[in-house]
Amino acid sequence: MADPPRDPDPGEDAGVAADHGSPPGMPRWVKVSGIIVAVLVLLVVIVMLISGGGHGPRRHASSAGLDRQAPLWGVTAARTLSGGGLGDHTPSEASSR
Amino acid sequence: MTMPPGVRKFALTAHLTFSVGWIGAVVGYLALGVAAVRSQDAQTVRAAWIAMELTGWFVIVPLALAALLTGLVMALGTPWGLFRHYWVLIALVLSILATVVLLLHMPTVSSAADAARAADGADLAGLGGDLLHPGLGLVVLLVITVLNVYKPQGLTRYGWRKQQEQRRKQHQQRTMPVP
Repeated sequence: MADPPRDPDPGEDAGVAADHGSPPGMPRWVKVSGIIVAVLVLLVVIVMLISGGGHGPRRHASSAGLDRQAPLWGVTAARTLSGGGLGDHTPSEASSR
Repeated sequence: MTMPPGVRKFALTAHLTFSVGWIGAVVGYLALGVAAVRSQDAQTVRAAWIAMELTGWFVIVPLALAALLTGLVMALGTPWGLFRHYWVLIALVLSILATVVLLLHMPTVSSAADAARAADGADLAGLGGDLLHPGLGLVVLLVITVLNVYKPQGLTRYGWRKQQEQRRKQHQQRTMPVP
């Protein structure tokens, strides 16, 4: 954010023609990035559903502690989203499994 | 409110330092995560998890919060604004998202580090590593960096309205009769 913003011509700015009377449309790079992100998120969701879910509540239900079979990152959000917190987990629980 | 040039340079230096530091710290965390996954040595896995917890709480979290805060100061204290340009808006959303996911993830890292402290060799092997969150986080941080360097053009509707208002004011000042 070092350089001050340029003050381009209306037509130059947004990629979509914009005269002084109408606001510019969304630039093409935003639309393309949005589509790419949406596709990637969809793919991740599909992969998670197929593989049994990495962040879903189902995984939480099946693992009360740090399940050895489950990747660690899978436990995080499930615990956080469910509000279960970490207080109910002790290291000995995880290590004894 | 626009910052004077001296303050702006100081804020920019701070913002760059915290942001680049955040990326470097995540790369270091990833190296520890890889060690935790790949190493067969129990001591190394235990040490990696303990170091990941310390790095997370005492390096990555403070850097993330500082980068977010200085980013807000830079946006609000310069003509860029916070909601006027798409690239600033997207960088802001991504920074908030990365910080929130980090803060939600760290308690689990602490929990795993506690487990690593108590576990013996066989149990340590089952802990695995932590690569997905820092990996995705690094990608997000690199996207934010690219946005900050290239500053792709594109005004939001709000930014366009503000620009029009500014032009109208400038026009009025120019055409105002001198007494």
